Amino acid sequence: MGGLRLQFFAALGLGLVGAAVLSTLVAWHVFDRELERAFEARLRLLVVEATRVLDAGIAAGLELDRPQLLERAMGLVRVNLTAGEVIAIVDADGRVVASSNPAEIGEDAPARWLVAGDGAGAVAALPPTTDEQLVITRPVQSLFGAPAGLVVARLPAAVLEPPRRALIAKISLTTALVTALGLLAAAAAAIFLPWRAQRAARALGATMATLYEGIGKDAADTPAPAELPPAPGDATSRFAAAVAARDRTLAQGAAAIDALDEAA
Amino acid sequence: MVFRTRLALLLVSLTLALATAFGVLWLALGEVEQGLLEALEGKAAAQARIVRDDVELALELGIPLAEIPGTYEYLEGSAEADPDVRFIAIADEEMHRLHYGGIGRRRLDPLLDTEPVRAVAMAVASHPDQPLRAVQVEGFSITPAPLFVNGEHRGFVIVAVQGKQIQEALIERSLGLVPAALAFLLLLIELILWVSASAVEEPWRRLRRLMARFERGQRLLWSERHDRSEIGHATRLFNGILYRLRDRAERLTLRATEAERAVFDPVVARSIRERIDELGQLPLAALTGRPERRPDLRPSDLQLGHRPFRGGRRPRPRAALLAGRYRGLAAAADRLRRRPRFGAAGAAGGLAPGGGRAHARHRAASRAGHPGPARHAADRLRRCRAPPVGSICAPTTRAGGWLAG
Repeated sequence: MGGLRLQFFAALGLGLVGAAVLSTLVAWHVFDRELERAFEARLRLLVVEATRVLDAGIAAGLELDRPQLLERAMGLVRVNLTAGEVIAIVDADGRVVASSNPAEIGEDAPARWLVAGDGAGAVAALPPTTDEQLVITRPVQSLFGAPAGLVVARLPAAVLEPPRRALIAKISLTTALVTALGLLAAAAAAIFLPWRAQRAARALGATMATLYEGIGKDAADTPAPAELPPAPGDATSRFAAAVAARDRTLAQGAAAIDALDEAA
Repeated sequence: MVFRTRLALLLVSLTLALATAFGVLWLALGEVEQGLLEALEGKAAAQARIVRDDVELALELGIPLAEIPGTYEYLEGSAEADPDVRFIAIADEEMHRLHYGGIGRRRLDPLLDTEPVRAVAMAVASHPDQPLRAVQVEGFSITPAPLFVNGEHRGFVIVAVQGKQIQEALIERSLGLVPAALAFLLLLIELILWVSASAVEEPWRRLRRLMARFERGQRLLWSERHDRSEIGHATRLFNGILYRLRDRAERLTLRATEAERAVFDPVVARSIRERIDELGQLPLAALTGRPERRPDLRPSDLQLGHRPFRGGRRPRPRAALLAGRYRGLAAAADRLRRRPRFGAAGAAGGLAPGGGRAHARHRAASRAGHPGPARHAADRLRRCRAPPVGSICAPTTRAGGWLAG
């Protein structure tokens, strides 16, 4: 494969590789968003469930920091947490009273949780930070609507890494395979398709070769090849006629000078 | 020819690119679906545990499983609250449906009755501490959670998510990226147009112009650089034709000159001279004149001081142009400066085309304190010896070759 076919293959291959890379990026983008959404939906479910237990306890007259109530709420959600995920219950003073991570019990909650928890009672998702990809909060209210605390679920960024890495490995391989197949198809198309420009250029080259060989041999006019379209064919015909005319004129001049020389 | 080639190239390229894109997307989204299904199965298990907790509470209160009030509303509400959940069902120990929410009974019952679901359900019901497991049946990922009251198995909570729903969500999200795909398509079309112009259109147009130039009898113009394509080969042969014709014309001229010198008869010598003179006239003059060689510049070539091709004048590279132009200009300016009666204005008058009037004008300008064009020229030359960025002497790029339209 050479000449025009090689250039066509390069163009086809470039487009193909670009399409494959773009598709991979699209798939990756979609996966990333959906993965995050799936984790977020599960954390929301757990937060709602923990809040429901706490609300039921408060409605039954229990205080939020009652150990039985906290244990009931945490016991329900703890079994549903995957490694790295944390659910905590914060009281009205901003202190962590229960958590799936025992180390943070008794600590003061970050201010940004409390600010988000001042909402109208709906589940809120905080913007991600470098350490935490997802933070879901839901306030707990007392019987009279006063803020009684907060349930917070957190998803560290590291939790999402293993599925991301697994997918990258899989779709990289897939993309490489499909691209290789596509490049083979592009090569086949470049080699086997009857490209009109190439046929015309070859015919033009053959005409030029005939003209070149015919110079000085009093050859007949070379017609334009049939493979050439009308406009290039006309240009080639006119050029061939001009070459033949110059050649004939030179031959006539040479003959005349020979004759004069001999006559002298 | 060019149009058809361009169209064919465009169609083949679009077909291949789209086939590759869809192939990659199809396979990659399959992988994505698998990856997401695991996450959704985790959510289904969480949902199953939550419902199980509530149902077990009711059972502990002594309410029979089949008679728990408000179950339909509870399950339907839970299924509706989470779009990923296809159904939530409560079944007895034999996996017979008692309550459900989500998809209809007609689809639900056959699913619960399948062997894999029953097998997994019985496996997780063997002990209260068995971890929950999901099983895939007919596109659904079904998670049965056993119900235990005081260690006694009482039934199942079954939650299902569906891979098809994930696919739909993925496709819906992918459609949001259509503008990016359109932008890529535009880039691809631009690439194809550029390739067809660069590989076919431009070389072919140059060759046609060279042929037309020869046909009109203008001075021979050879193409110096060609690619290795078929058109480049034809262009090399074109050069060969010009070379052969020129060679023939030169030999004929030499032969005629020798014959003219050799003959003693003045009439014959005059006849030969006339023949020689004929060679110097059009269209043969083009063959005997000095040929030109020009490279087929590509759009990516860096061209120093390129001048557009006009009227057969050979564009000279910027450096050579400046050197030639300003060497003469500066020398003339220096010469004229040495003349005491002219000075800078005199130099300007001497250099300006048009003579006296220009001389007077520049002398007036000199009197008014204006440095005049000679000083400008000298300054310009000085600047060019150490060209700043973006100056008139800085290298410039221009798309297209010397014959580019």
